[in-house]
Amino acid sequence: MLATTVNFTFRDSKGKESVYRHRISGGLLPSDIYAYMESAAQIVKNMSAAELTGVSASVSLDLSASTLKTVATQFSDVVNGLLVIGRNAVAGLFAKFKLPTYDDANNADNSDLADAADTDIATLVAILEDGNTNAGITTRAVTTRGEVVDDITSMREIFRKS
Amino acid sequence: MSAQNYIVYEYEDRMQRRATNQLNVKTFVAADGEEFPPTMPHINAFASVLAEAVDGLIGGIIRRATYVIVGDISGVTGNVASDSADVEEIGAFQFRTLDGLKVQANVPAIIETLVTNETGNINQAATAVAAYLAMMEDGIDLGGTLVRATDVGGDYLDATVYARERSRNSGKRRQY
Repeated sequence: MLATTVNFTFRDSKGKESVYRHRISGGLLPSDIYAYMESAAQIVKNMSAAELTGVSASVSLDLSASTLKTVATQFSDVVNGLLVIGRNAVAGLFAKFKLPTYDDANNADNSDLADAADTDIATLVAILEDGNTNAGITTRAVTTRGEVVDDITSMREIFRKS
Repeated sequence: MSAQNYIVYEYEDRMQRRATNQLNVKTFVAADGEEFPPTMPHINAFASVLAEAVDGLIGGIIRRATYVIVGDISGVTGNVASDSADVEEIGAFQFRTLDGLKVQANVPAIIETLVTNETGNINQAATAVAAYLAMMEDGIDLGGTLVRATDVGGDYLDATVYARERSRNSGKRRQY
């Protein structure tokens, strides 16, 4: 199992930033990783004259259960993307999700809008609005304030450097 | 938790150019919608289903996915930069794993008083340094769960090879 990387970001008196990182064993519960980061943050900070501005842990996910293409198509380009905008219908908070290398064959005819009737588009909308339920637990997309995304309001093709 | 955890996907197009996107996620009890602490099987299942849905809409390939857990530093004391703080002045540590592999760790803006005069060596007996070395070599006990530092392959760190002050460009790198 791959190790988990813990990242500590520091900023000095001139505003320069640098990231200190080390790895910890894989397979830990997220709650244990969170508790570890809280303890380790003080220990690492006590060694540094800079300000600790953030700490995070990166856990590699296993996508081997997914059926994914292994070769990019002739027309794929990271500049071409689909900007998906969703919101929480009650709180009115929005979230954005961009898909690099979007294939515009999924657009409605003569439009830069994704075709809502397209099966693949509908599948993506369902996952983003309803999440995925596994063993009684539903994992859902949320806004930066933690409100669930329950309404996809826009899906438009864009061209932008990532 | 202080901020939302998120999934980062990395993509690659036909020219091997790469891009990433990210999505904040949380877990809930399906029956009543109550928030539930995240577990890796649930996060992984969601990431896999979403990856498959996205794959049908893109021309590029999905190279990998990472779950990022955002920690809380609000309880860290003394967390200000001193006037002389410089992230290019690093504490360079080298550790050895149980299998004898070397692992490097660089602490930015190492506090000058932790460095022994004229030698450039970091005083391993200083309280802050000893606590750091204990964390790296022995781990942190979370009340029954011992979390230990490892190399990239998951081999535990076991001993300190050296601890020295060095200078280098900060060169901020990828953080996920």
